[in-house]
Amino acid sequence: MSMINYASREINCKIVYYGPGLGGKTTNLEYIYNKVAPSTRGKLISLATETERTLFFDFLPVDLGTIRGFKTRFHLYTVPGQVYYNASRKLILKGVDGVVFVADSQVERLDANIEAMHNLYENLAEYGYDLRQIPFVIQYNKRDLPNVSPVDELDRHLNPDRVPAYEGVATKGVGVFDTLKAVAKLVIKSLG
Amino acid sequence: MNVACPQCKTVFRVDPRKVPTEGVRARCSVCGGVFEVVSEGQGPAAAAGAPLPAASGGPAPSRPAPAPPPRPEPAAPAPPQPQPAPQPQAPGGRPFGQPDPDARARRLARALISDVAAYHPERQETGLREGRLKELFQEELKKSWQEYVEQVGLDVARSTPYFRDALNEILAKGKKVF
Repeated sequence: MSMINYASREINCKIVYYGPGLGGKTTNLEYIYNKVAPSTRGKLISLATETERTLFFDFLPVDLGTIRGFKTRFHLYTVPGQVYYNASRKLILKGVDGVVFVADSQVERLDANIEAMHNLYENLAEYGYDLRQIPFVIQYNKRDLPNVSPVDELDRHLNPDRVPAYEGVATKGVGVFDTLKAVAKLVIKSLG
Repeated sequence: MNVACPQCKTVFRVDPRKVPTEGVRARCSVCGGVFEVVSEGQGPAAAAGAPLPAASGGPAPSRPAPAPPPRPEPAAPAPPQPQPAPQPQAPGGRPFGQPDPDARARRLARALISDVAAYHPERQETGLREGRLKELFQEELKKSWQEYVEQVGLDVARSTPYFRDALNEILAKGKKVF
């Protein structure tokens, strides 16, 4: 749920990067952090325990224009991807304005992708959200690896509603900003 | 009338005319749990874990369901008014993809073991090479099993081969180690 800061005339939106463990959520966030102008971004905060990690930072894109005189500040979060850290995942989803699902394209991670997608639907449903109603995009990451599932197969398993989906190689930045821009546009559209 | 699954708490809208006075067994289309629905005059759905009447004569589930606690009756001639698996109510209750509880248990097992392998590729190689997979992954496998049992229930976890299959196929790379 976006928060409005009247003093700074900013609308704050929360975007959560979701997906299976080691799929590239953190790599996406780190790439974005390193590319946005330091003057427009907050600190990169890592909430790490011994076993799980959540990454967070906020930034104010300069090229997205304003909504009724308000600028839009995006708060980007990752979640811990391993199946058993659901409590953290669910907590981080609270108040979400847009979701990016970072899928690991490797064949051996297909079940983990599908499980994570089910988990996303379930966790959102428990907050009363429907993924079909909120801004949502998918990134098929690690497309540079040799053992990847074809995109149409991933679409069949993970994207029945045909939301915008991008191929990515997050380690090289490929598809990272396409994905972010797509979800940001959807979020702004949903606010307008 | 509204009926809540005692396991996952999903609320379903059920046509009270389809619930016979003696009650009926229903399967939750979200978590796969089987529970008893009683007609409105007789109080809310049975509490979780309450034993279901052995000879309820209720409609057999639409597919064989591994469900805690009691097993579904053998397929008997279906009595009238079979109760279909209820669909979750809005908001946001769409079961993504395959709602079959068997498929869900299998996928969960594979996802859990796939996580273990993905996070520890070197240890997996060592374990395979030295025949020490069980020993090296003792902690992770215990944790994964606990999560699996918590999500699918002990009955399903023990009565299906999914967890073991996932261990052999994914962690042991096709060898029959577990």
